[in-house]
Amino acid sequence: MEKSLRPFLESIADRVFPPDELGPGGCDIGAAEYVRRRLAGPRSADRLAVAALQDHLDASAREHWGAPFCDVGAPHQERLIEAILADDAQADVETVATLRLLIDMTVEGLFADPGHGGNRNEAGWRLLAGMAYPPRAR
Amino acid sequence: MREEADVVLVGLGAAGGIAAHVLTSAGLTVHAVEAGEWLRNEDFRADEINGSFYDNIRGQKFRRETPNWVHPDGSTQRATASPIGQMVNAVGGSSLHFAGWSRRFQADDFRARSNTIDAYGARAVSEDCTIADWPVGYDELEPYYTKTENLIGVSGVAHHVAGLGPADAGNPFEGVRAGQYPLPPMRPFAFGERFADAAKSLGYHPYPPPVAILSDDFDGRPGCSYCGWCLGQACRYGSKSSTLVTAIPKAFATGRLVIHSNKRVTRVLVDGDRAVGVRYVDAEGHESMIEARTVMLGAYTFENIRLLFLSRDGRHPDGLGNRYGQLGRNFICRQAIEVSGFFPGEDLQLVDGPAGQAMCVDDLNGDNFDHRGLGFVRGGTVAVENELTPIRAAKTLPPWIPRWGREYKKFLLRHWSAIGGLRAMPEALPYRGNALEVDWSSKEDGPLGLPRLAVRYSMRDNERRMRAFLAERMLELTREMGAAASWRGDLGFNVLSAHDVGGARMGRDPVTSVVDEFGRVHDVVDLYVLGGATFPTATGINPTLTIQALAWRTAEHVAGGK
Repeated sequence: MEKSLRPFLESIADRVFPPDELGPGGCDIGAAEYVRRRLAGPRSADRLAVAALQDHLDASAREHWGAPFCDVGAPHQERLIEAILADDAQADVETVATLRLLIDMTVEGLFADPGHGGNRNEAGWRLLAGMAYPPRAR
Repeated sequence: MREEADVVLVGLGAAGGIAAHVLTSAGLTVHAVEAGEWLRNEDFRADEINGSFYDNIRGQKFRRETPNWVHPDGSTQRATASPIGQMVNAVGGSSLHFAGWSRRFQADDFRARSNTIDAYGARAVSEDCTIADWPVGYDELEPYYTKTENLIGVSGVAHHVAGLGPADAGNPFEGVRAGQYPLPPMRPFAFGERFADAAKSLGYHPYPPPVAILSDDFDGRPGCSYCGWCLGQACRYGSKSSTLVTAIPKAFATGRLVIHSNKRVTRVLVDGDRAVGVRYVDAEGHESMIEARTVMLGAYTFENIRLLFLSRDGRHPDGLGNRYGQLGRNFICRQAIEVSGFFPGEDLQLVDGPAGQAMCVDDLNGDNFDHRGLGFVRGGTVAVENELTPIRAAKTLPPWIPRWGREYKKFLLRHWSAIGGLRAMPEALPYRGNALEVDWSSKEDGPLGLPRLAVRYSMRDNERRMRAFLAERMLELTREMGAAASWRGDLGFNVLSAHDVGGARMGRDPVTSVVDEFGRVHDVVDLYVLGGATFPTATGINPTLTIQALAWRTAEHVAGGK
């Protein structure tokens, strides 16, 4: 049985879009659920790469702090993400590309039509004050 | 099963829709075989993810057969990927999702080779460049531009209507028109007005480009509601003048058009040197034939060329239209240039209408400016468009802003409405070595398993210099508009764009071209090619209206000859 990606995607969602005084984070907005559905559907071809990325981040987190990625807290998670995306990063091309893809999908999950699982109750759209959503004739 | 028709059309999109209208109006029976679905306005829904830039749920056929890219020297091979939504497979084709820009080519575009050599000498054209004049000119095409605009409903403002002289409006580089546009231009928008002011102060001549979107009620369809969900989306109100809601219903109403949706043509049937019909496969995998006196290929550039190759037989061992090895040659791919500006503290109001609300300058297009000392020939058009949708807003940020984390969130929520972009459409020239061919070893996904095309392509020095020049002008424009910072953010070079043209070049000499000025394949009687594949040059202007005007002319030619 393949292990669930859900906790990992939720951690990523909150690192990409942290909950703070400006408003809800990626997880509360539903971005992780959006990504989960994408990887189970139209982007299923990328599921293995995302699972490998999780393994990579879990291994790094254990090496430094003795716990998996999801359990090391936001500051440590940020450091691990930064390490992969840094210009002089040692990470392999595939890992960098997968992380970028995952960030990209997470952002989509903040602002896509709620029918795709993210942007719960249009919480993402409401953060972009001034945008008139959902779309309708005016 | 066998069916019979006067004409069988392969693909019922922007080009095929127009041809179907003209042919059925002339009394001919037409069978149109379309790989995609036949949808109604009620089937469309504003949804960025399902639109063309992400899932492109209406473009699944194209996604299964995306060509492979091969560098002309063979050094690089990989799957092509389009930075933007490539196309729609459905009745109406990509006219369903395009931004609607319906500009005529300049008179100069039809004489690109002669004008370049006349102005700068033969050495201005590099040895490997196959730039050519068209076998038709602006004056011959003008009546067909007019008919198309009046049929589908194009909104714009004329500069020079015959008999009236030039007006202080519209695009001064547009050719003389027989009449006014059927509809006035789209309403102005804030960012467009700002661009126009900056462009004027730099000496350019901005104009709102004509678009196939209704600025007012027209022919039973409602004027645009300015909902702002248009680019890459089909219009659920019928206000975008796709062939689905214009030419095709008129053709269907004659009772002489039969639409075979969800069916794929796999071969053009040829008897000797005469096209006699097509073979197609339906969604369940059943094969059938349609016999016809005339066959017209109206698919996208890639499928048109592929079918000509795949229909090879004993008399045409290298493919139809390929007696002199010209099929697939002179393929051109045009890549957009993007420059964005950051206007801190401002709301640019880009969310209040469609990308068809735009402002454009043609001063840097074609040979509209002096190229001496610049190191390149030809040029491109530069424009701004309305329409900012949420995911695009969330992904279009200055390069120095991180794409995740606290800084990202803070910047996005504060400044998403303060970023606006310019886009240029630079002409790319045709070259020896840039060509489409069949990769017989690489099969498309899905049950048919037809071979994919390979695209042999590399960008050349003329285009690199032109792009650098245009990007500099665009950065100047953003500064003139008051941007605190601006940056070039091209979508990335690839070999696909939304304007892949050439490969079945139109010309008078069968030794150097594939079709004649009517799109008739030189070496097969009664076989025609519609669409951008026939273009000898790409121009710096959107191709759709010219594709439709040529389709009208071809259909009229065929109807008159029967």
